[in-house]
Amino acid sequence: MDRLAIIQLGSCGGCQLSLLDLGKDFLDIMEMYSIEHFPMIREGEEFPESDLVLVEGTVRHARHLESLRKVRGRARTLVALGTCAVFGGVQGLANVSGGGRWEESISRARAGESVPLFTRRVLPLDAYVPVDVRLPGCPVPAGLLASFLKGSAEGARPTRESATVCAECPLRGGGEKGGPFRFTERKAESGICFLEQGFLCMGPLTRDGCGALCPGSSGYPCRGCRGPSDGALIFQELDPMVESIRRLSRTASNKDEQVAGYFMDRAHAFFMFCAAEPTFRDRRVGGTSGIVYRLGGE
Amino acid sequence: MATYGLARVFGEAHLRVEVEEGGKPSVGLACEGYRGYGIIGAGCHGEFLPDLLSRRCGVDSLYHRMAACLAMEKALGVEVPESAGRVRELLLACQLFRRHSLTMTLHVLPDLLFPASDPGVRNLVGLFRVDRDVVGRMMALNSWGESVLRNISARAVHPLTPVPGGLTFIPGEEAIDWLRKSIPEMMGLARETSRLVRMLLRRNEDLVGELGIQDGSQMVAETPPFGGSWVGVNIAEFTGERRKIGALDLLERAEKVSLSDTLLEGYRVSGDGYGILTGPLSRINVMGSYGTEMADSELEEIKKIWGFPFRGILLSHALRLAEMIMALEKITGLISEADSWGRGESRNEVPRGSGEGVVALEGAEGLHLLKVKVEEGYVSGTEYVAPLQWNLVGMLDMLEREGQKVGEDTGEARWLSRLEVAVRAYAPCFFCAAG
Repeated sequence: MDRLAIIQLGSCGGCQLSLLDLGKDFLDIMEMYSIEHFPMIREGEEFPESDLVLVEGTVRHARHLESLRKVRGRARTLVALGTCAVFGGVQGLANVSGGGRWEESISRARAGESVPLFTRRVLPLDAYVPVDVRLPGCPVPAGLLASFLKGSAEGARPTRESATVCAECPLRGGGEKGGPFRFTERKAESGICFLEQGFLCMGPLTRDGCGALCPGSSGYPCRGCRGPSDGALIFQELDPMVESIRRLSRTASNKDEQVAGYFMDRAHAFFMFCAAEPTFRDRRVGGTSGIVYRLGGE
Repeated sequence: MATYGLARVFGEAHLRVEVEEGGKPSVGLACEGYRGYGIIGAGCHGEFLPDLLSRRCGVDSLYHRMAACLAMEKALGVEVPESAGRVRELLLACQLFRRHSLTMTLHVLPDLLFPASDPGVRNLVGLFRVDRDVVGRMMALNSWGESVLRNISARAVHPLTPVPGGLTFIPGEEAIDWLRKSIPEMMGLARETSRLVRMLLRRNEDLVGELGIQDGSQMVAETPPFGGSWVGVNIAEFTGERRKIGALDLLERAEKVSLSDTLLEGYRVSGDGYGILTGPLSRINVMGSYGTEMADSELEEIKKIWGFPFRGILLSHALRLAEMIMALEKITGLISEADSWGRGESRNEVPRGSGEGVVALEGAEGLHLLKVKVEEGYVSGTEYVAPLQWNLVGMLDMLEREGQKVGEDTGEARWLSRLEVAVRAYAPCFFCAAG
């Protein structure tokens, strides 16, 4: 029986809950694996040798980094669980706003308090250690998690290339064009593509696997919680901000600069779940991914 | 100094035990899960605030999302359509059930069932190795809580539908019908579990009479825990004195309590001295009754055994089950009028504007206080106090007193276990409190 460990770094616990929310499937998983470490449901301070380790969250302080390196050394397969672990998640927006409690932690530690030293910047897990499998989602979709764990117990690994949320979305084109609009400031016509109505929707640049839950069945534009698609990561012309502005400009019959000027909150709007992703930083002035990757690895 | 990781709690925390030569240990608490939520919302348009703040906590995400929506609506003077208001009440009732079911299933029942067992066995994984059926039955409450939120708000973790101005959609007939049909079975299971918890608490009477006894103030939002305007706060003393204050006044009077060796901040209310207690025990001490038939019948049983008002923090577990029953009754009442929900709009437009909104939202474990400042539609700042931050002063006091009892029991392992049981009785969420 393979040994499974779940490790919690700086996170909201949502991806651990996704696992617990599997109901009967979770009971099956408890039969398939020997659960060695799972802070939300069982004790165990030390990290055991494990066959499969799911790591939730980001490195936010020195003790997280120490834990992550220990875990990596004792894990056969390390899985980045959830968008925080894979791309930094919404926590990456702290990079945009400043250092948070970084300076406070330093000054209190210097004063003799036993506080952990916080990181100045949020980064995905693979900036620190090699990651074998990435399962993004905020939270990770329960069905994907169950099928991964069941498959993994039999030695299978996910190999599918990513498509985009639009590939799964049932909304159709048409409707009155215009915009750009803010979702809360104007009612949307149901059944019609949000982008075609002039609302920002990250579906064309976000990886699939959620079944287009937000735009497709919940009447809500995609915010990008599964993280950028392979295309958005690889091709500079599909950068989430550049491409979204281009699409909205086409709908609104406006110039790109006019649409760009409409969004004063570009980090939140276009990079809500991936502001920490070094690939995007590298494309912009002041990008630091070269330095970031030198920190990585064991 | 030694640190002990707290397992079976929501979030990341350690007990810190310091012993000076020849003296009794001093017990503190450190929470290290900071992620930067105090700053990440700054500068975003208000449409994104619910998405961002709901990520603060996977367990209580609906409360964070709802608080963000309510604060935006207050700041910009927006009313929500009546049908959306009713569905929001339904969502809050579902979340109350879900949160308590998680606490009881994952954290508390193993402690109450096997208080003397090795901590390595006394948990869901250990129990599963002994009896899969028992764990399956325990998990059924949680599974229903998850299913109901998924059916009504698309997801149990980070639900989607509440937005400033209302909801993205009103649940359809199929979802309501599923809910209506599944409630009787869940009510049976909740009542059965409630009896079990009372029995287990009586078996641990010594702990019930000792842990978390305090004479501080108790605080609850004006309309707990559903409906209403969520602006006022009730504060009650054990002496019987009661008063009401506005949420903005509460925020102005809330004093930060800095703790050593942690960046977590506690709060006390100036003029109230000792500290504040929030959560299921305070709620019923302030309210006196639940206002629904079956929950009040459970309450009478609890009063018969332990008297009223309630003091020992472990009694919160019996009250959590009573609240789960109340939630099921509220859900039943709300869906009985679901036929009229589909007739109106699900949301109103939120105009671009400026203002400040303060919300005191009663969550499962106490008061969430959120202030949002909006300038021309964009969020220029947020302030937030989590339920645990109100409880922290009292909880630390309790840990300090328990710390003195080392050696009176059967060794360090039992002593530490008792400390953990005491902390879990507050059902603390360090995700919410860490920021």
